[in-house]
Amino acid sequence: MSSHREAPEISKDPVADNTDVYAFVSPDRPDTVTLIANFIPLQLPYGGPNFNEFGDPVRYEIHVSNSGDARADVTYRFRFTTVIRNNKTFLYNTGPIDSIGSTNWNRPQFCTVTRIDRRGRATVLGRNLAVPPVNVGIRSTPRYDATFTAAATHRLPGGRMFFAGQRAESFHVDLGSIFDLGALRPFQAAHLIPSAAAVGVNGTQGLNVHTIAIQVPKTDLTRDGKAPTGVLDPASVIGVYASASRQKSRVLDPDTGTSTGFGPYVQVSRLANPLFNEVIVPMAAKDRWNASDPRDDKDFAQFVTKPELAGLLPVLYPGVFPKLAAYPKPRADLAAILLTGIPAGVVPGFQNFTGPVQADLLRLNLAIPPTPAPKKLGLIAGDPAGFPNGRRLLDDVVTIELRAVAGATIPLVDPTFTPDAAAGAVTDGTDNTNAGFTDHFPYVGAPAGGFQSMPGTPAA
Amino acid sequence: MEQPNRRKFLIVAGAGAGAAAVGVAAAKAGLPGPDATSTGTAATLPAGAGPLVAYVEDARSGRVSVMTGEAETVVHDPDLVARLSRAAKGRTA
Repeated sequence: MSSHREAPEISKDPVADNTDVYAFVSPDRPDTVTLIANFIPLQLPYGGPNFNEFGDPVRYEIHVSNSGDARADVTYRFRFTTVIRNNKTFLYNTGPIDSIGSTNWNRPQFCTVTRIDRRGRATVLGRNLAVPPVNVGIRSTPRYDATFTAAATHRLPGGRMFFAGQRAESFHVDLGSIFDLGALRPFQAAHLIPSAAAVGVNGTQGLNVHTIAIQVPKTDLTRDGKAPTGVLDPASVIGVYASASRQKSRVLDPDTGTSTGFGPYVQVSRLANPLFNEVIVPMAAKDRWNASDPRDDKDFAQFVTKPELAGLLPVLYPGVFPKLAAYPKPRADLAAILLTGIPAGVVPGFQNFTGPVQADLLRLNLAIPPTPAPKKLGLIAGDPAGFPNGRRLLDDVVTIELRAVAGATIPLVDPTFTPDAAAGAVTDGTDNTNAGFTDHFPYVGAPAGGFQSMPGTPAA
Repeated sequence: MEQPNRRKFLIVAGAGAGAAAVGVAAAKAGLPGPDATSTGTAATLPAGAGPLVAYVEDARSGRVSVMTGEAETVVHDPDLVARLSRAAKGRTA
């Protein structure tokens, strides 16, 4: 998956597990940028009585680098506080939660948002901002979207907007197929262990995540505090990543069954480009990658320029990728897409280059306006407002990255190479089958309800 | 807070108030309080001393990492490391 349970350590700490990051020029407010970081993967909507929630001990952050060295120049920090209103019940709610302030809700959460600049100067943008309950069901959280989404969308100083809470999973992928020896159902007849071709199955269908979304003026993010207008101006590009950190030491109290943190915060999860740690970094190095900073990603560049997946495709699909199998050079195309951004001159009229420092960042050229009719394959389909120029909710990043790894983007940097025909066609065959995106902040669809959702069908 | 009853489940209750204040109160309630067992040695402690974690990764280095709150201080004190090591083995420091 994009980054769901992608490393051994973080897979045991879902509350801090960053699953996806999005960064795009807001389509309805093009003078602003929307930054979204999702956490807590694969939530069953009916996972009570202790439903999923943000972690009070976790320090959630979204970082923006604007000076080319991959260091965070702007950080938005999100800290949550959970309250138990009634110590005498096991219930999440003791009646219908008909508003975000309902006292029937026994376990509300509140968030404090802080902006921190490169020098460490912190400005609190909002305190005790209400987080909505999870979507329990028609009795407990009636008319969920109408009741809670707007109520939990907070206006912050400086024209900023903020939302944090449970939402529908936007990322789609055929989990069951891909992790079964790299099978892609539409093409599995050509697999080393073949079966009849079939349509893709969205493995995240019916599942929720916890979203942190903040919308800020472009001027909040640029190095000179101005709104960029020149696409080819290096100052127009920002690099984005999100992270989660926990205190270095944790002491369990056997008298209360709770724990206390001690010491400085240590990063336990990070994410920018989808699938980077998931399918680029070897398993033995994934935990170290999560704990490291993007500016040190040169240590992992070898896995980008010679990706394991590019070697697997010709083995798993015999005879389908002969040109990819024979390509002898380091993958400069993937290094550009994932580690430095695409320099000017590669794609006419486009660039999202942040300089030579190799770092996994989601790079967004702020001078490129939103596309009126966006294409889900983004830049490779001629839509410069989509991935890998930032990432929109609708971008089909699995297909884009599959095609890139399969060689479709090599000609960008090596015109002598002609990709295999399959490189331009390969896909897992999925689309978003969860709640649709909205045309306004926070854009992410409302979460699936516990009562309304049905368990999947087991098969062996 | 009212206890659950049939009427409450069937009739949508009104919005509550003061959620933020509740949050602050709960946060304060969660702060560690003074430890009654420590009063006998309080005179020898620096002002504001609270719970801390001391971590020795490599005793031979003589370094001990002391974590309190969100801070971490690494001190080079072979004697302290030796005393902690003896204490860890159940011996008098």
